[in-house]
Amino acid sequence: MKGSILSLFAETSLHPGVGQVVGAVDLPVAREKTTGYPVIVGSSLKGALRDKAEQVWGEKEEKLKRIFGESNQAGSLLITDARLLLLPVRSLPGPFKWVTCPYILERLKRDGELMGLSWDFDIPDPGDKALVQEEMGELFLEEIVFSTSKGKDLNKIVETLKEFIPHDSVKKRLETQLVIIDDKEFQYFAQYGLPVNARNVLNKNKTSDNLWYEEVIPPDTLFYSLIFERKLTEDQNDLYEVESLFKDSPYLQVGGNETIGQGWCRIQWFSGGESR
Amino acid sequence: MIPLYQEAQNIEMWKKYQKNFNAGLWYDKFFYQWEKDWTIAKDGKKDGKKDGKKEWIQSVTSGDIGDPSLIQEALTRLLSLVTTLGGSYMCYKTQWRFVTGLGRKHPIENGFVWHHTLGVPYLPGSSFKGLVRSWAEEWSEIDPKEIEKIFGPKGKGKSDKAGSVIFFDVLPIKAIKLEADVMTPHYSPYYLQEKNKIEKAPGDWYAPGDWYDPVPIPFLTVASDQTFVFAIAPRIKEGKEDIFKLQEWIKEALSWAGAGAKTSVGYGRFEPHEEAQRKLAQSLKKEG
Repeated sequence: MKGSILSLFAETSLHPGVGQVVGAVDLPVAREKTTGYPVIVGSSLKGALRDKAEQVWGEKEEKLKRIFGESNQAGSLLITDARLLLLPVRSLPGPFKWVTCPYILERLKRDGELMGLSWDFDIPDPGDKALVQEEMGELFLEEIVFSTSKGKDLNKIVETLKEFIPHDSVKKRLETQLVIIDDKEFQYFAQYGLPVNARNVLNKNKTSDNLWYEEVIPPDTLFYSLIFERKLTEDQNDLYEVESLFKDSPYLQVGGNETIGQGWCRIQWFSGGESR
Repeated sequence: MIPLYQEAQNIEMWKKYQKNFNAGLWYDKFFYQWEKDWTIAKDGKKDGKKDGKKEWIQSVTSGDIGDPSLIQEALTRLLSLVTTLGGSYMCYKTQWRFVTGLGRKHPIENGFVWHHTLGVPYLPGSSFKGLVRSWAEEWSEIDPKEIEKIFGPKGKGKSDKAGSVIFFDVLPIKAIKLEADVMTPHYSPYYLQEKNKIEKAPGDWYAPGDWYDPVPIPFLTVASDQTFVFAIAPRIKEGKEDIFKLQEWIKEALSWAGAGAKTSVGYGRFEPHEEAQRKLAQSLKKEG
């Protein structure tokens, strides 16, 4: 089975929502049940890809049914959830750090193996420290203070993660902004470190009709998804077809709040160590 | 005093970050002007105490806020997205002060909206969209059907059709100047009573009398002459022609209705800044 990795780098805030819940935040973002990390679920990602395909090819295109399926036939593409790789967390010194943890890196390595990619970085063990490339004394992530320590062989991880990032300027910043912390600590930021926007509708008297709190995933968050192709016919090359959708515009809109500028990801494909 | 665990209570430690910090994180979470009984010191001429709220606001008004290269990068990326989508952007500068997010919770009573990763004040896309819509509905004679097409239908359960245009977050063009301002309500009991009208028995009410003490409340604002970039893009093909119309509407809305809070007393007015726009377009061309 052929497969590619699709990386999604948030250019704006994202709101892959789950609808209204009872809690302090009315409209939270989708999270993985087991880890609590924000996630773009596979069905949502598939819908976004289909939407893009309809825009580029037109809604009547025959390929659409084969690739994305219809009621009596599953589609040819298998699309996993877009998993979190780097989460921007506000910091002092600032403005933010890209935070990740051993579990995420281990999962990435496993997923890479599934795709026939072997990255040779070791999974670090941060303990109660924050691992960085250049030691910097104390580091505040949100209100939590960490003492930093220079991680061993962190540059191998940096080099691997760079493959997922489309912009040269961002790749450069990753060297100084990458921070690796313990799984448990990371979970706290994944749960409570996302921006929450207060929104409302004002009536003619400029008083609020309704106030609601909405959680978003901040810009500069990095996700990746694995996409496989199932051969339904001999001459199909659907992975390539979907990749070529992004020739003119490397952007994909996922999740809600589209008309207030949310959900835009810059995407990149790669397989076998070659990024496109 | 600081409402944080012991290890994080060393203020001097944070102060060294003041040249390079996320002002939003600092402002939201590190307030340290509490007294022992969790009140905030008021300007006491007798006991020589300084006004805690004012002191706090001054911790972010001394220099420019934001990392210039990071803002430049964010803007370049946003605008290349906008251009790819066939949208357009316009530079406007604040004519007078501009403030948004006053309603957010904060120890000094008035909050402020900060961009999460950039740590600078900004105008969220939802506010940008809302202000243009409200201008179109209330100030102009535009056909309501057209407004509905561009902005989407209003009200619950009608969200099956979204508007034709995307309004992006409004970002500053470079590091930004903030200023302290003061509001001084003279008739607090009268105003508060308005709010709690339902709970009050009839007859038991406060008049807006001269005998109340004026209460100065400091709050944080964006200074005048700060430039922001307003970007829009069509969501669907039919939105393309709406972009030109909207450019005019946005100009009118920003100069007449204003953005953010306290617009009825002159805050949040913007005027076009053509020179900044030219320069921005040039720098984007260079970076390709």
